[in-house]
Amino acid sequence: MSLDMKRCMRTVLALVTFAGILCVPLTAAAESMALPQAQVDVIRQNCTTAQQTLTELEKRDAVARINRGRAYDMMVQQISAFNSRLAYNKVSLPQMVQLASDLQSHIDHFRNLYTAYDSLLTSAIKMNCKDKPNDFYASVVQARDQRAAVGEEVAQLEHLSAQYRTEIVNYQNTLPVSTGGAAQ
Amino acid sequence: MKQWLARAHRHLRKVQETSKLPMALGLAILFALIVTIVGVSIYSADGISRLDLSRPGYERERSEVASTPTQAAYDTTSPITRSAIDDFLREYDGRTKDLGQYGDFRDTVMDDANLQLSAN
Repeated sequence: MSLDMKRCMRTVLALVTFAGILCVPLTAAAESMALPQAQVDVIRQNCTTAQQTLTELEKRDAVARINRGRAYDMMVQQISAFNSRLAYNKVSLPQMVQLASDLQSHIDHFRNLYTAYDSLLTSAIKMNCKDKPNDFYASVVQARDQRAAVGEEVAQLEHLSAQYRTEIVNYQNTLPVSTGGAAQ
Repeated sequence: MKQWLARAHRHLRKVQETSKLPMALGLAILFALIVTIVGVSIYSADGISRLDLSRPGYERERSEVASTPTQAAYDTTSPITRSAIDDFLREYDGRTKDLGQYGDFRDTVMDDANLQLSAN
């Protein structure tokens, strides 16, 4: 076998392997979305109503995202100011600085997750669901999972803000009642 | 070739001299188009458009958005006292309470049953 032939064979083999790797997840996704005919019929029948519900949901969630985004920003602002005050008074509480930083990164993550969720929801709303009920359902499932991720992030933010509050109260309890001054 | 270039140059100059206003208008329109395309691309690419409730069809939602409070100026230099922490907690708890009133993305609206997408 000549050198050129070997090189050609190697290239073909590499391409086939690459194509195989690409095909596996696609096939798996298609198989996972293989729905029973009865459900496909139900989806085709009710999907227009479902899309209307999703449109209303998108509007409602946009309001929640805006209100939450603003409230989180104000919370971080308040926390940062308080941490600055602690630092100015030479009070070392690294766990509170860490919590403030964690809060900020989770807020950024919340925003990114919401954007991804909204993109998926929009594609489900705009899809021709009568012609492609399987694809429509797959989009709804993806959007639902992404929405759940946004919800988990909200829960995480609630947990962090509660933790910050606990730390503040713990610190308050270390301050003398009479003078009320900062512990140096 | 040289002759052709010279002729084209002469022709361009002639066009330039005779139609300055239309050319200026054309350039202005082209510039405005480019700026608009760039602006709209940024608007739709970074997710801002998704939160723009000034679009038609969002009248009801606009009224549900909480009004933006005035920027609070926090004291970052005074000593930390128990009462200062009480003040902090009062504001902090108010904010937490507000957050509790907003949607938390954890309801079951998107379940198959609610969207009537299940066969059962």
